[in-house]
Amino acid sequence: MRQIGPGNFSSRVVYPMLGIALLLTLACGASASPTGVLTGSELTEPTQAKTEPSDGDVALKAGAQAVAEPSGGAVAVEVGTEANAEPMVGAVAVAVGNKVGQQIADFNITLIDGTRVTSVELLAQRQPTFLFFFETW
Amino acid sequence: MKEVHSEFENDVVLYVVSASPIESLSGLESYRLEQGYIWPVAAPEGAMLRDLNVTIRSTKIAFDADGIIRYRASFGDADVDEWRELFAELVASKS
Repeated sequence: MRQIGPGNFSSRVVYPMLGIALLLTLACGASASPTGVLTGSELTEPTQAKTEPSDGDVALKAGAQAVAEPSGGAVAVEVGTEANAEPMVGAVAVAVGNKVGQQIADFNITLIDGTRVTSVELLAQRQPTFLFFFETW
Repeated sequence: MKEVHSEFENDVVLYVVSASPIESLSGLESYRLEQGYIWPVAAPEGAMLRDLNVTIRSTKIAFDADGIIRYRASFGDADVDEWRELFAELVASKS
């Protein structure tokens, strides 16, 4: 009667099993996580950043430093998260609005001599401006 | 604010804007003369008061050379040092 010794057991059972395990690993390895556990990014559908200001009169402008008032719920700062998005170099979007840290909304005023002053002109001249709103009654 | 602004008047423009769409510019001009203010008075156009959320008089809004709002307040007043600091910040934004 033929007996299975330690050497025969290795060559007939262990090595073929190792070979099968190796083949299975190669077959599945390309799509599996290295750890075998799905990470957060694998579980999450890729999403595109959306900016939906909660306030109808708030929009976005680029080109200035982003400073958002913490209490202002109407601030929307665009974040590029698409894999193929162009990198934004030196330009950060700033919400347009009426709170500290926001880009001032466009406006026009007329002086008593009829001269018209626009925010577009003031910004083109890089003119810091103070508006003091008042009424006499 | 009047004294402090005079130190920065070449760099920061200041307008007294009517806070009410029915305020007459002549009434505002009379007020300016009474107060001895040197700042020009102006009337808002279109939806400016709504867009800037000006609902009460004495609202003050200051924006820098990039158009970023640096200061906003309604009633009450800053002290001389605070005004000076604000105007200095506004001027610095030009560089």
